Formats: sequence, structure tokens, C-alpha cells
Amino acid sequence: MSTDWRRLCRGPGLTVEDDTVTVTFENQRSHRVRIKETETTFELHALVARASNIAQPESLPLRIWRHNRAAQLVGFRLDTRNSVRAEGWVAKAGLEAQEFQHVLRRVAAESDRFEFILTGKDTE
Amino acid sequence: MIDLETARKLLDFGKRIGGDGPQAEEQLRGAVAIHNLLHQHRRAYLADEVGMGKTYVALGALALFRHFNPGFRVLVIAPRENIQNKWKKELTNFATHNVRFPDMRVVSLDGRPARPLVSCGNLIDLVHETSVDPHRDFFVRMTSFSLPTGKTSEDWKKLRESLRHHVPWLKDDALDLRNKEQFKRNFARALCCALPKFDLVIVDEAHNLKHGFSTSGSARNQVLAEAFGRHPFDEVPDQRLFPGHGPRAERVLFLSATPLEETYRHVWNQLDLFGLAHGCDELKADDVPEARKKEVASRFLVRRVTSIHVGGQPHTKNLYRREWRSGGVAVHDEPIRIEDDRQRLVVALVQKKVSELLSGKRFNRSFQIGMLASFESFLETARLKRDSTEQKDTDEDKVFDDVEQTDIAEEREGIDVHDINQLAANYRKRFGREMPHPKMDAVVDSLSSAWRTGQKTLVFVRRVASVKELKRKLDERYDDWLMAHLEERMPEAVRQELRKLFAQYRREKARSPVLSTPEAGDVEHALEDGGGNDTFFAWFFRGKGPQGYASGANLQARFNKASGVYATFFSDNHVLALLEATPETVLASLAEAVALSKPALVVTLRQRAARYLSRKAHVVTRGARLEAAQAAALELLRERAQGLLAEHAGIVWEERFSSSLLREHAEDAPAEIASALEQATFFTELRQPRYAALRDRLWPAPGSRPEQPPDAETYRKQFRAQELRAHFLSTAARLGHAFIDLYVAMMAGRTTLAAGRAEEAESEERGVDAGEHRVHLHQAYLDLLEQQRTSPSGPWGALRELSEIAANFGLILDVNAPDVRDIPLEEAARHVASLLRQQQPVGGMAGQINQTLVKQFRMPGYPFVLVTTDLLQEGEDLHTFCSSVQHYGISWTPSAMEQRIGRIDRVRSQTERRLTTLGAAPLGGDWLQVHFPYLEDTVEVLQVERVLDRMGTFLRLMHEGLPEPTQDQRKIDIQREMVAVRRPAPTVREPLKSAFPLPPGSTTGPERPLAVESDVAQNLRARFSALRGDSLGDLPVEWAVNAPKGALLGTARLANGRRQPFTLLLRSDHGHPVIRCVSPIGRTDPESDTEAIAQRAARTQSRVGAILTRRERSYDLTIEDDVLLAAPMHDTVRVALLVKRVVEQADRMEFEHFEGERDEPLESFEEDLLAEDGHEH
Repeated sequence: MSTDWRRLCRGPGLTVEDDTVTVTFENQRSHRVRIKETETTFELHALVARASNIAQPESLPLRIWRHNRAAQLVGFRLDTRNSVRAEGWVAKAGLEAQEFQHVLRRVAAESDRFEFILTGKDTE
Repeated sequence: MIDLETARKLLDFGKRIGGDGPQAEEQLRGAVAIHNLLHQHRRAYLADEVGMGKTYVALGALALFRHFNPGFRVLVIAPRENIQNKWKKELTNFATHNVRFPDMRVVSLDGRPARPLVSCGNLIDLVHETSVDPHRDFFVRMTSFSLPTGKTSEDWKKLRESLRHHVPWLKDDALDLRNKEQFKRNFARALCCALPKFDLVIVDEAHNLKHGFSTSGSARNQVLAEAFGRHPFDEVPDQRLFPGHGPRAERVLFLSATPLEETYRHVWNQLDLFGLAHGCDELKADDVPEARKKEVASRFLVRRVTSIHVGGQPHTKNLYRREWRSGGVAVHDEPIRIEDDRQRLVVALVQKKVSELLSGKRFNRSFQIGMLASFESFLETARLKRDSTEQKDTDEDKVFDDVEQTDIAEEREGIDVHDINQLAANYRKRFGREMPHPKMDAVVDSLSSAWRTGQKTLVFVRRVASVKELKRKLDERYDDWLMAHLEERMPEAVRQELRKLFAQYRREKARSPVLSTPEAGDVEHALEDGGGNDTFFAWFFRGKGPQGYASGANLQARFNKASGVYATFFSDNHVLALLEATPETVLASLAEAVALSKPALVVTLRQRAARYLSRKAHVVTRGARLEAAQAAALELLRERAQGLLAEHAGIVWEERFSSSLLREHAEDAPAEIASALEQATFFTELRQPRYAALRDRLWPAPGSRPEQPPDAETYRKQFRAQELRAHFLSTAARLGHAFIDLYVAMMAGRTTLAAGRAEEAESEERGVDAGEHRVHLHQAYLDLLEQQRTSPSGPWGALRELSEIAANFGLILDVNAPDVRDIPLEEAARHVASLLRQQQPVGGMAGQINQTLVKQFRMPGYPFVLVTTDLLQEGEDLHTFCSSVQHYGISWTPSAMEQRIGRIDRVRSQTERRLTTLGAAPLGGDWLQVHFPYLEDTVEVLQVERVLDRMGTFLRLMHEGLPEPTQDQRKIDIQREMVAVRRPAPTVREPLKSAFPLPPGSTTGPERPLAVESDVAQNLRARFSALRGDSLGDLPVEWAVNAPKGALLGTARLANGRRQPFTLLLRSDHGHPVIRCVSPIGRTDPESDTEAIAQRAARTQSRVGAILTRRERSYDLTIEDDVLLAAPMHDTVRVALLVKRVVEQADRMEFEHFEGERDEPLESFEEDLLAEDGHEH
């Protein structure tokens, strides 16, 4: 199944470059989301914060796992380098721009918000 | 902008306020106007009179926003914890009843609010919860903004560290502890950075913020303002320290029935706290005419006037409230008469003392309104010291409530306390008794008729100790009544013993007075009723009762224990009712209906009944026998009977007995179990035609026409309603005032009060005459109720209490137990029992709200009198069965007085119900009674006059325009006031007209289609159910049969030969349908096993979820994920992708984490997976 995801993300505040979309918010902050295509899905990956930017990493795992119970459409995890990553996905079957952008903006917004909470910055 | 018709398509305000009448329309218009004002101006002030349902109007406006913008984020600021909880309850009720269909934006597919509701106990909680998931609705308390930092520097450090935990990048100099004021300010700024922006902030009882923002003013207001991005003009926050600091409230809705006291500046102050006062500066200017100020305020402020139609004429509150302004409480417009010379002398002496005190230089001939102890009591006022650094919502460690009225320590303590204490001590020493207080005695006298009339009164005091004093005196009066009542009605032969018991009670009470009053909080959590000795009722009818006697408590236990002789007294025999049989003919009718011979029926029933009996029970109790026999018979009827009988039996079995099936059941049932079906009970007797009129009063049958039997769903609803009514009736009959009558009926013919052999034999299962005795009691009790029914002028007794409950059943459920309509009946019965436990004729509340007492005050019966400080001034509705309020202690602000009266003056109040259904012109007692008890010829006259005057001013201000500004009025200058010419405060006798109607054009806008169609939920449920029939792609799934609505449970068979259970949940996300998949890994305690889990999770591109709870559960680690639904044809593909992603990763985690030892089946997690449907995270 072939779908061009770039066609699906034409809209205000969305800038595409290679396999990455930069989502810019009303408050002028922004966040980058990388799109990865599989046979049946598009996966959306965002780096929330690198380990070196996080002030108190020890309490993070529990916080992230609790968040994952509550949140919808986007999940967080700590990777092997202790950076925080956000991930979402959409199924290609029946996919339309509105749905793609809904998940894309959610992944970006949640990542950006969590980045701010963890670092107070807007790096990613 | 939105128009009325669009809003009507979504909202239905008629459900809870009695149909589609004018009140419902007013609510709808209000919701639309508030929505549009907020849309246009970002601010709105809803100042409808107390009791008009401001909360619901606000929720309506919120629903309109969220329906069209599902991402709409809301924060509610409530004054304190009980009101915070009330908002959550009301939002849930609103979603369930007032939104016409589940739109996945306001209401989720299961009928609950679409967004989970989160209560935050403090500001750190708020930061934490908004960071966990900001897409929820948050509820905070205004008191949290006071930032209770404690006294020691360690407390401050703790607070700093807890904020740092959530905002780890905060720099050290942002939270410097050397300057406490600066620390608080910066703390609030850091908070602001951490909070998301809220589309709407609702401030309940916003008048509490009327003093506004100033660096020298209220610390709470400063913290609140800074947290929402407001700051002083000369101190802009440093963006390096506080990045992202700025406004956090896009719109603010202020709610209060009393938005100002005597100046529009109060309104400006409230707007300014949130930086929303732009364009309103005229409100605070001294040189702007009041008419202009009114014009400015009316652009965003709405105040509507409530009225009750009496004899077809609208009566505004000034017309249906009957004020007792002359101080007396016995005869309207008469003062309290002091007949006794000694009392007169005492009052004169105290007045002399108070006058001397006030004439001294220290107090400048003035006192704070409501803050002289002598107004309320001549007893010693002991201040309860509390050695705690924690700031609580409590007034137990104060002499008066609302101490913020004054900053002067002596005034806070009560300037006359020392002298009165001295006088009281001397008097007691000289005369050996307490110094009489004519006002207290008059009030106690007037309230002591409550146990004869059943009329409730809410009493507000200012002096905290008055709560206990008034309660104690009223309890004594109640005891006098109860003892006389029992002596008169109990058999002659037992009266001597009864008198001995009275004496024993008095001795015990004198020895241990501390057992008297159940404290708030204790009652909330107590599982068992410990009785008490505050009244003879508590001592004799509750708890265990006096040992060795057939006390009320002793006999009551026989209703509660399954082995007790009265265990089935209040049961219903559903089989008898369905078959329309009579005792002794049930088995014959049943045999005919199921086409079995009677012997075959008895055998079948015995076999089936065993499955409802516990294997562990040594003796099958009377209660268990009737339950099991009925369950077995209903099963049979469901399977073998014909037509409606089978259908109805099936419904009764499902609703009432299906949960009684036991996994570990007995192998056999007693041979004679079938005979239990022949049993008569209170309810089977009540169905007899001779009690038809009585039944109509106590347990009205559902209305249906015989020629058109109800369909299955209607019958189910009717059956549940009947069962719920039966639970309420039977519980009320054996727990409160009504139990006294039942007890007297039980004691008829007794010759002794001793719990002797006869009673013991009865309580055993083998008691040969037990059944006969029970039937006898059914009839005796029903005859007593019938007798009370036919003599309506008699005193308040069981019949009146039970029939009041029946007549207002829907209202009682709405205000006290809305959830019981939908929960399993077994659970509902427990809920009702908990609601009616530990009743007391007089309740007292100070320090902490006792919800049990509050809820009982909202029902007929005990407590008849509720004495409270300002604790209950806001938030708790107490109007349903109370039409009388006493301002025993007077508050200095009209708004506080209005709030207090407002507790009993609300939509669907007892007063409203009475006045609107009167067949004749109302008499004095029919109006809502407002008492201002005081003694004439004392300085108290001055303060009452002042307060009444100010209340008049407030009334005119809100309804006719602003009068001349007045000076600070919280103090009374006695020299000036005493010589002034006495004049009664004028009362307004013409109908009130609002000064702030809905702004023109505020309910108009473009008509627009709703965002979703009303059948969307139905279609989605059908699509979701259809998933169960499909194989999920190439993933074999075994589906479980017993999933609740909106959930599916299954086990996936994986390619590696292992299995993985999961649940699918139908949810919504910002208006889009979404399916959530949760698959449990197991129980592993993530808090202590964090590192190992983190290592595995780092390599898993899946969402790991942890459940951090101390509760015992089958799993606390999950893999979960979700997928949006698109067109129906793609459902299976999408859900298959979702399930595969989740179960494969969950299985891998389970395998690795438990080192290949586990491969748990669905049954291991089933119970907790079924509960995933809730909003707990």
C-alpha cells in the first residue's frame, strides 16, 4: 500500500523537510517529528529531550509510564541513551489528511510540552 | 457565537429541574449568553441569585464550547474541598442527564464526561497532573493558593523541592528562600511556567477574590494572580528565570450570587486578578456616576431574579421569605420575652460589663459585628489550641468563624470573652448551675418542637463553641421528649425497667461526656455504628445498646443479621409477586407455570438453589434460604414459563440474583428450601389490596396500563426503581426516627425488657414460632402505619418520614445518590445503608464537613436541626427538606448572610414545592422562614439593625441601582448608634427586578449544525461489537463472553505458541472515535523494579504503562496503545494492527521480565481488565 505522507501534511504551521515535519505552535515554539513508513503504517517519532538536558532523570521512568496510561495517541519512552522519545502511529488503511495531521500535531505538541517541563527550553 | 436553537439541539436542562418549564429555558438562555459573552469578551460574570443553578449554566456554556472545540481545556477553582468534589459530581450528572447524546466531545460513548476529571489537593498536584496529561478537566481549591508553607524553614524547603521535582530546570535564584514574600511570588511565577494555558477558568464563589491584587493585600490573591500570569507593572518577571511566563487563562467565568458588597470596584478587582479588567477602569473610578458603572458592568455581568409562583403570581425572594426581624423566635414580629427576673438581671449585668468594656479606650466604643461571645452564650469560651503547622480548612482552633473579618488579635478572640468567662465561673460557683442565656434558651425552646413536627432548621453561629452548646441543650430536650414518648407507648409491664435504663443512660453520660458527639470524619469512615451517648436514641437504638436488654439496637441487629429472626422481614418475595400468588400457594402456582409436578419442582429447586449457597456455611440461614430459593425459581421461570412471565422473571433474576451465583457453592441445599418461597414479608403484605392506600404513600407501584404491558427495558427500569425504593423504605424504617415506632410495635405485649430466652430462641433458626411472630409483626407494623395514615394531624412518625421519602424519591436520589440508579442493586443497597447510618436528631458541624450528616439533612427525618459555623455557608445544598434558617450568630457581610439563606433557598426547595402546590392562600408558616434571634435592650440590637440595613442596601444595589457609598461597616460605634433614633430597617415589598438581565443580543448568533449527529454513538457501538465476530487479520483471537458495554476482552494466540490477554475499549479523542488496547504484563511493583523494567522498555517501541497503587491487583504493568477509527470498512485492519503491536510486545515483556516462567491466561487478569473501562489511570 503506497501513500505519500507529504501530501497529507499541507496545513498551517507544518513545514516538511526530507523525512521530518516541523510543527510550529501559536506561542512560536516548535517541534520536529520524523516520519517513518512501514508497509501498513506511518510511525511518528520525536525526540523530546536529550539526557544531557534533563535535570532530574531519576524520577522519569515512573512519570513516563504513568503518563502512558493516561494519554492517547502518543506515548513516551526513555531510550538506551536515556533520552526521552515520543512516538505515535497511524494506519495507512483509510488514512486521510485530517487524521494524519491530528496525530502529527498531537505528537509534536505533547513532545514540545514535555520538553519544556523537563528542560525549560525549546531545542528539539 | 452560538444561537439558542443550536444549543437546544445539544443541551436539555429539563431533566433535573422538573421538565421543560421556564426554569429549564432560563438555564439554556443563560448558558448560551455566557458562552457568547466569553467568546466575545473573554470574561463573563454570572451572578444569578443563590439557588438558581449557576453551576449548571456554567457547565452548559462549557459544553457548548467543547462540543465545537473538543480540545477545549478547563480549570475550575472552587472555594474548598467539598465544593471541589461537588463540581466533579455535578459535571458527571450534567454529562449523564443534560447533554442529549454522547457526542464524544462533552460526553463519552459510555455516557460519562468525555474528559477524565482530576481533583488536585494542592498546587503541586495541579502541576503534576497537568504534566501527566493536560487533556483532562482539573479542579483546584481556592485555599490552595494561600500556599500553606508552614512555619519552619524546612517546610519551605520541602515546598521548593516538591516544585523542583516537577520543574527540574528552575534556577536556584528563582526560588530564593531568604525573602518569604519574594519566594511566594516566584513560586507562583514558576507555577505559571509549568501550567498549560486554559481555554476557560471557572472561578466559583468568585466574590472571595473581591479585594483583588495588591502587593500589600491578600497573599492568596497575589499567588493566584501571578500563577495565571498577572504581575505588578513595575516588576516584570525575568524571562531567563521564568521562561514562558504569561497569561494562562484565555477566558474566565466568575460565579457568585454576591459579586460585590457596596462598590463596583470589587468586580473590577476580580477581573484584574486575571488581567481581564481592560476597558472597565470606570468601575474603580470614584468620579464616575453609578449609572455609568452599572452600564459598564452590564456588558459582562448577568444576574437573574428567581421567583416562585404562588397562587399564579410570581413572588421574588423578598416576597416569599418571611423575616423575623424583631428578634423573637416564637411569635412572628415579637421580640424574645424575658419573663424570669433572674434572667433579666443576668442580661443586665452582662450588658453592664460589655458596656464598660467597650467604653474603655482600647476598643474605642466599637465592636466587630458578630464577634462578641455574649451574643451567643454566657458559658465559658475555651479556645481549642491546635499545635499544627499545617493550614487546614478548619475553624476548630478559633473562637469565631470568618476571623479574617478583623486583623486585631483581641477582636478575633472576642473582646468580651475574658469578662464573660469570669462572670460564668462566679455564677456557677455561687448558684451551682450555668448562667442562663435567654436567647439561647428561646432558640432551644423553639427548635424543640422539631421531633413532633419533623420540620428542619439550619442554624448558623459565629462562635465556634456555640455549635456544641446548642447541640447539647437540644439533645437534652430531645431526650426528655423521647423518654416521655417511650413511657407513654411501651407496655405498662416494662415501664419500670425503662425508667431504670433512663437512669443508667444518665449515669453513663455523666461519667463519659466525651462519647457524645461523633466528630466529622470519624463518621465518614466508620464501618460500624458505635452508638454513643449524646442522646438516649444513640445509646439505646444504635450501636450495641445496653447489655442484656431487648434494646432498639438489640432488636435492630435481628433485621441485619442473615440468621436473625427478622432477616427476611424487609425482603421481597419476587416469585410470589410475579406469580400473583399468596403465601401457601406459591409452589403450586410455580409448578403450573413451569409445567412440573410439585415433587419434581421441589427437587429441581433444591438442585438449582445449591449454586446460590456458600460451600463454607455450616448453617443455611433464613436470609440465604429465601435468596437461593428465589434465584432458583426465577431461573426456572425464565427458562420454562411462557411469554411475559418468563421475560419478567429473567429481568428480575438478572438485576437482583445473577451476581449471587457462587463459584464455590454448596453441593446441596436443605431439603425444605422450596418452602421458603411460601414466605410472606413486609412487602408482600404491603401489596395486599387492603393496604392499597398505604402502599401508594410508601411504595407506589410503577404506573402502567394493564392493556399495554411495559416493554422489557421499561419493565427493567420499573423493577430497579421499585427495588431502590424498597431499599430506602426498609433502611429508613429501621435506622432513624421511624425506627422508634417499629420498636414500639415489636415490644407490644412484652412483659420484660430483658433479652431473655424467648428472644434468644427467636433469633435462632430453630425457633418454632419465629415465622408466626414475624407475620404478626408485619401486620402490627402495617396497621400502625395505616393508623398514622388515617390520622394526618398526629405527630411526626414513621408514616410521615417514609411517605416523605417516597413522595420525593427522585429528588433524594438526585441530591444524595445519583449513581445508585445505575449500579448493581446489591451495591445500591449498601450505599443506601451507608447513607442512613448513625443518625442523630441534632447535628453539629465545625471544623470539618461531615458529609453523612449533610446528606441526611437533605432527607426527611434526622437530623432535624443542624447547627453550623460558616463551614456550610457555601457549596452544600440543604434546601430539599428545610424551610427555616436561624442566624443565631450574625455575619457582617450581606453576601455571607445571603449565602447562608441560599443554602435552603434553591431550585426544587421544600419551600418551592410547598408554595407552588398550595390549595389556599399561604399562611405565615408556609413561607421560607429567616430568623434573626437577638435580645432587645442589648447592644446586639445595633448589629442586627446594621446588618439588616446593609442587606437592604445590597438588595437595592443588585436590583435597583447603587445607593450612596457608606463607610466601613464591619464595626459598630455604640456611642453613635445608641443615641441615634431607632428605626426599623425598611423592607422592600415590591417584586424585585434585575439590574443585570442578559445583555441584548447575547442569545443570538448564527444557527449552525452540531459537530456530530445524534446517532453517532449507536453506530460506533455497533461497529465496535462487530469486531468480535471477525478474526483480527492473521491473529487468532478467542473472545470472552462477559465484557461490559464499550469493552471487549480476548486472548490472542501468538505465532510463538504463547497466549496474551488484552482488552479493547471504545473511547473518543477530541471528537474522533478511538480504540484503546491494553494488555497486562503482570504484577511487578514498578516503583521498586524500575531499573529492570526501564532497561527492557528502552528496547521496546511500545507504550509501557505503570499503575502506581497500593491496592492489591493482578497487574501493575501494561503495554497499551490506540488507533483512530476511519471509515467502517477499515475497522478490522486497523484494530488488527493495534492488537498485534500491543500483544506481541506485552508477551515479550512478560517472557523477559518473568524469565520465561509465566504465560498468564485471561482469567488471571480478568477482574482488573474489566475495570479498565473507568477513568482511573
